[in-house]
Amino acid sequence: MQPDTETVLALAPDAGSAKAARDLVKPAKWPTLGANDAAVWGECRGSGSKPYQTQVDLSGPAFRCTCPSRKFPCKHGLALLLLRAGEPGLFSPSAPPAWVEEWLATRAARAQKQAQKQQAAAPAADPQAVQRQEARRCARIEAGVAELAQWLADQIARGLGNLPPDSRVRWEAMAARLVDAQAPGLAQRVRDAAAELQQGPDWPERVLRQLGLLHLACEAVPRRESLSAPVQDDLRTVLGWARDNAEVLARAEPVPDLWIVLGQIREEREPNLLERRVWLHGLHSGRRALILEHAHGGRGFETPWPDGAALRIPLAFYPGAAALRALPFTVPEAPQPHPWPTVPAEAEWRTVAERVAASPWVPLHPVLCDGTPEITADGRCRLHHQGRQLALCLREADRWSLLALSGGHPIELMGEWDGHVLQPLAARGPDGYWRRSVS
Amino acid sequence: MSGPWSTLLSVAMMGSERQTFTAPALSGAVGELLQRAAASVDDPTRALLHAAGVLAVCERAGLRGVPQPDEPTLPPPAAAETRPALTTPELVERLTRALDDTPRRLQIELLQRLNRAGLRLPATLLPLVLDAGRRDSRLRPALEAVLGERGRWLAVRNPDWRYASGASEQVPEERLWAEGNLAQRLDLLRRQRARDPDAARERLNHSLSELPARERTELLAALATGLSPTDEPLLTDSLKDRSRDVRRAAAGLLVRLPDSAHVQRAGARMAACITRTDPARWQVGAPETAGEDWKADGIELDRPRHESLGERAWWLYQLVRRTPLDWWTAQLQADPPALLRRAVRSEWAEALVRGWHDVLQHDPRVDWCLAFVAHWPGKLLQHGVDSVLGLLPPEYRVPLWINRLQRDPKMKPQAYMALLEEIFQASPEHEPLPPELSTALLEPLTRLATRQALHQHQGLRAWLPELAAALHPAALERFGTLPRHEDEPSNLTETLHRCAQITDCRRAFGRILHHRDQEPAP
Repeated sequence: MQPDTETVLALAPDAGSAKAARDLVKPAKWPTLGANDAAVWGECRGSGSKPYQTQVDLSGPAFRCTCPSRKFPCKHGLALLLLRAGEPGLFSPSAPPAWVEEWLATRAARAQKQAQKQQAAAPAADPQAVQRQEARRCARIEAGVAELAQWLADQIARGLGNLPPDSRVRWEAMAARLVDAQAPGLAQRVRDAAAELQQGPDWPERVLRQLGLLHLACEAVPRRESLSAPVQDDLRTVLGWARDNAEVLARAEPVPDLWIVLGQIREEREPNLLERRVWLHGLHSGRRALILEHAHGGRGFETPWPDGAALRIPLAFYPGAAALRALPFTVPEAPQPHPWPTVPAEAEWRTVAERVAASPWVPLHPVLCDGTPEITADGRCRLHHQGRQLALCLREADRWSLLALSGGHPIELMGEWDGHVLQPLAARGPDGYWRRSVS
Repeated sequence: MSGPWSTLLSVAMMGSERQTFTAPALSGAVGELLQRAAASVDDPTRALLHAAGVLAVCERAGLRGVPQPDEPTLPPPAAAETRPALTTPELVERLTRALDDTPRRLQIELLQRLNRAGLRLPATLLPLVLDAGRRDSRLRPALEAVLGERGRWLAVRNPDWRYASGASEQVPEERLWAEGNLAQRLDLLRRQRARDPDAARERLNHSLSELPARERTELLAALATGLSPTDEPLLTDSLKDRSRDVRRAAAGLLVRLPDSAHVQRAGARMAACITRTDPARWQVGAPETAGEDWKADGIELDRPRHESLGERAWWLYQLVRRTPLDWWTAQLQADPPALLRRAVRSEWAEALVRGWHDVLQHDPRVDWCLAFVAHWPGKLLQHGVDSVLGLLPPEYRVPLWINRLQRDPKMKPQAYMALLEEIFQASPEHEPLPPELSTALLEPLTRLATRQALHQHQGLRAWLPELAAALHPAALERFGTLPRHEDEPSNLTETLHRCAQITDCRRAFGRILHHRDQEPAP
């Protein structure tokens, strides 16, 4: 698969790497360049005496470079692919040198061994040990939730308008205690609420909303045995009790479909922790899916999901009533460009409502709608849709490119909806496409 | 605060230990749910949190923004386009990259090619292009032609892009004159001079006394457009202005009115300095003393501190710069080259040459310009030859440059770069260099490349991308085949790579758009 410029840039771990890679797209810096169907390689003149040896295994893509950078993929790998995309004539079709052949051979051997290992039955963990561990975790969570319930009541009893000035620090401390109680999902929600304290004119309403949702979770945890299995699974997600990818893949029924990539977003959750959300629509089932991944320590995301493409691939959905988050069963390949589905507005909003009814804690919903964007004189953005106005969350540069696509006419928009604000991720109109910029 | 929340928030803010919470009564299914929830909880604090949770979930399920107010607030959409958009992906990509970091000439050329092909910018490029025009005003004429209706619509909505909104300065002239900045007023005056010179002069006359010296100088210079004898009274008055710059500006304009009283007086004074031994031989002398009526005409009697001319030479200089050039040719029955040759050998060479040079700046005459270029007085003048070259119309300049290039094919990098600078400064950015000049430029360049001398002068290397953008399309191919060497330094390789990208870009645009273009393909 020969990636094009945009796909390559999407692999960059951050905007700085993308720019550094673009600066390296100069043939003068690459005394050696070569490629064949399986790989691309080259030597890049760096600051040291010896040039760096960079290579890319296209069946991934997977990168390897002798430079000392800790980012992944490094700027040399990205630049190599950019050169290949922009100026293929520079790559002489030659036999790969030894350092490329060795690496490719090692990778092939490793892939084979891993496939064999997966086929062989995984040794079952000692069920009793697992049970004891789970019981311990449950006990900690229950204690943490009980403390949270009391803490919530304390804040309301005292009054949000009477909170001391260092409340944000105190609330963050509560979040830290929840992390200790092994409920990181609840901790994140407390931190999010803390961040809204005294921010903006309607902060009390926003904070109270979040506290209300936390309260519902606190009420649900002690009664969880009486809840249905899917709701219990959702509760586990709210608590932040992570699931092993292998477990999800093992438990789930594969859902095959032609999945259209509607839109995606990359955000830095913490320094050095990137989150990527990719929203999919199944053409035949009409279902939506969310691919949620994290990348640590300067790495990029390996699997590209090209916007506007459709991939035929079976997905494994996470357990729970939300039925939104999913994992691909295999590595997606051969994307085909595909138009967006047309969904009547009523049906779209009904899907959101039904999903909320089944699973109240889902934070973001994928929404496809058509409407006309507007930037008001005081700098607010909104979408005029079906006789109503939806608040839009857009960065400065993105507003103008979206408005340019619309020209005051309706366009089709896809975004993340949290009940109050729509964050557009992609849009289509008669004059082309729009995508939320990377950074 | 929205309806259902107001009850909750007032208690939540005060504190539920101070104010008891009762669930709000709402109608419909949400109201029923709230009642059921309230009934199931006895503690009022928990009841409030419970109600907050229920409301939050119901909102998330059912809220769909806010209803539109009765009067439509949406501004009208962009008008229908009259031109098709550029859709070729290769060209869109090239244009996007060119707007980032290439010579302005290239950007202007690409936009112009779009215009000539009857195309407009695709909507996705509009913010990028409008931003480029905000930063660089010289790009604006070219980009305004290809904005399309949507571009203009978009420009109206962003204060940073007002420059492109079409109906730009619909401000009435009076207000612009009263409140605009100097550049705007100057522009207004020039435009009015073109339409109605007398009204423009009256406008200036009216405001002149209130303006500071610098503005008086610049606005007075606007009278150069549409100059006529009716302007004489105002200019003669300005000779007595308290600012020296204004006086000089006025004198410079008067020199173009040979029948004015001022010029008649200047001629008479000049004539007094000429002595003829016989009809064919003449000599210029400097005045012994300054006349009493000189000050009234604004002639500067005292020479500045670091002036190289002596006192009498200075006076001669002052007289010469107020005398029209035609006077000399008429009085002395000689043509400009002959006059210049004589002047250079004269005792008062510097005064004469500087004076003529000054007059030339105000009243460029082709024959005098050519004479100066051909017999450049060198050290007598502090300016370079481009100060005169710039006055010539292009059809005269180009042959002079070609001549220089052909005379000296073994030009050193320094000289070549100096010539390039001169050419670029004098050539407008919105058109390529003429084909003969482009071809002539390539000859010495090829020699320098062969001898590996291109990188020796860093300044020359820096001009190569500009050259790649400025050459006529017919010469581009040869530019691409400059001799290269194995061991050329990497910065030269990088520069030539950039040049190759520029020429590729130009050729791609020319090739793909030419079938709509009126011009023949390169």
